[in-house]
Amino acid sequence: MVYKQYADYYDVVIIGNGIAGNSAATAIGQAVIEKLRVLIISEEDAPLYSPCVMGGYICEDINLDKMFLKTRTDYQNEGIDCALGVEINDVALINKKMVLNSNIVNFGKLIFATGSYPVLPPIQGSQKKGVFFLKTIYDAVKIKFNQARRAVVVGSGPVGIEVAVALKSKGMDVTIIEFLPRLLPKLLDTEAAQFLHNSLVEHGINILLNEKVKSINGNSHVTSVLTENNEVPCEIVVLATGMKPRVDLAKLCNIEIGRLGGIVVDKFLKTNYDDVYACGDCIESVGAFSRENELSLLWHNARKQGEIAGYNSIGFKKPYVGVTNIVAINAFGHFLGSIGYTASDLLSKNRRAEAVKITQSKANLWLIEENGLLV
Amino acid sequence: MAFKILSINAELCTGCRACELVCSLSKYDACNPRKSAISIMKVEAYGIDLPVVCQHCDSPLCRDVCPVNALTRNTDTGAINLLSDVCIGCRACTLVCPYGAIKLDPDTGKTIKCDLCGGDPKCVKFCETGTLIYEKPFITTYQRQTQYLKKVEHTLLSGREID
Repeated sequence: MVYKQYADYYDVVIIGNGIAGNSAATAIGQAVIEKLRVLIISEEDAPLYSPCVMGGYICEDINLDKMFLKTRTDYQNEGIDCALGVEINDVALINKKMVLNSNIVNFGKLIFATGSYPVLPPIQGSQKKGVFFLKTIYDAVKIKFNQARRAVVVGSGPVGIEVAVALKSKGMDVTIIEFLPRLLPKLLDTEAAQFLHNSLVEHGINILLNEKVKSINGNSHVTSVLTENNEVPCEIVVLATGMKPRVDLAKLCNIEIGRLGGIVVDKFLKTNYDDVYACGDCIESVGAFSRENELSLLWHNARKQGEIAGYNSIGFKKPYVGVTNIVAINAFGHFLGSIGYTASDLLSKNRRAEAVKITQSKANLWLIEENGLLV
Repeated sequence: MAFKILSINAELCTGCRACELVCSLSKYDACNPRKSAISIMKVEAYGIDLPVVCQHCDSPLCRDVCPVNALTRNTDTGAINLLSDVCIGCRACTLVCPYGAIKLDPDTGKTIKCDLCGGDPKCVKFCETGTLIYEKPFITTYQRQTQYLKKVEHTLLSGREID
């Protein structure tokens, strides 16, 4: 659905209508006095929405109004043109032209903010009806309005925990299956994960750790999930097994892709082509503390990168400091936050780190220390 | 930047907590320090009173982590304002604030945050000791320099040879 016809030439074209693309557009709008022509392209036809609150939407804490952060008139007020729900057929980076719905659009600068896509794990039967991912607002709506009674969540990242909590609050029987020996393996150490584990079990969520899903059974619709030791009957399965940078278009344009699977950018978020920038989930950027390349698929990093890519695309020189890991999760009124790396993460890099527990009256805090220093 | 800033001179603070009371009174119609955007850290053993309030950072982490864009920069005052009907109470901003200047409302579970009262902060009006100052940056800098001068005045003069 195209609600505003796009012109032939734009100063900046942004591919992707997520938070990274939008904060880039806003930064461009704020930075210069004379109006630049900005176009946002997306294959989804929804305006900007927040994927962080989809758990709340599924369990009816939050209504649909709150998920959308912009309306279509907001785009017009900011002077941004949108081509939502259109497909990019081809891009010529050197000639600065692209083919949009079989129309040619010229551009001055290009910003990739293509985001990420959910990983499809190599599990038999993952194409069956009743198997969902949780990435877009459409997935959230599909999960919310199904009539199932029993659900299985595969994977226990932040998305997995959020959707499990949401489905449980809706009154379903929920089972979490995790391949690794603890919940939130990238964010928590064993002791901290045990707290979350206890709190989830207390509220009636079944948790299977150290289990690998072998297949999803059922004729056309899902009836059960088979793991190595168990068979869990269910009507829906949510695969929350992680996200990957979405770089198929960038690959097509011969933009350099890194070892971790994201677009390679320099300190100023520029790709290996001049006038082509990248930001958000689709890039790999340097960690603020580790100084190594990392993938970070988190909201606040995408926003910051978008802002910086927006400024740099119109001639500023703002360096990007690096990504940080900050996650906050609400599990049945138990609030949980994680900042930085876990001790086991550092141990795997041959660093001697340990988690030191500090208990206060209402909260527990784990600090990660290495040789007596806070890291 | 022409915005006025809220600056704190912690040496002058006596810990009377009038700022907390007037803040919660003006925002929530109740004299409740738990519902105030400014709070006084007291260490009774050492006699320390430190006012803690939002610094309206240049690149605020709280705005970056907010999943629903509830925190936005006010272009008139330069303050980071909270849209409380948008806030979902996820507590991400309280987690990342380096000053601990963001609180949660114990009743609604939503964020409490300083908005500089739209450019006329009540806490400054009721600060008896002059700890809190709301002025343009160059004025507060001048005040700081004057205070510093007062401290070293004696040393400077005593070094002089007087006939």
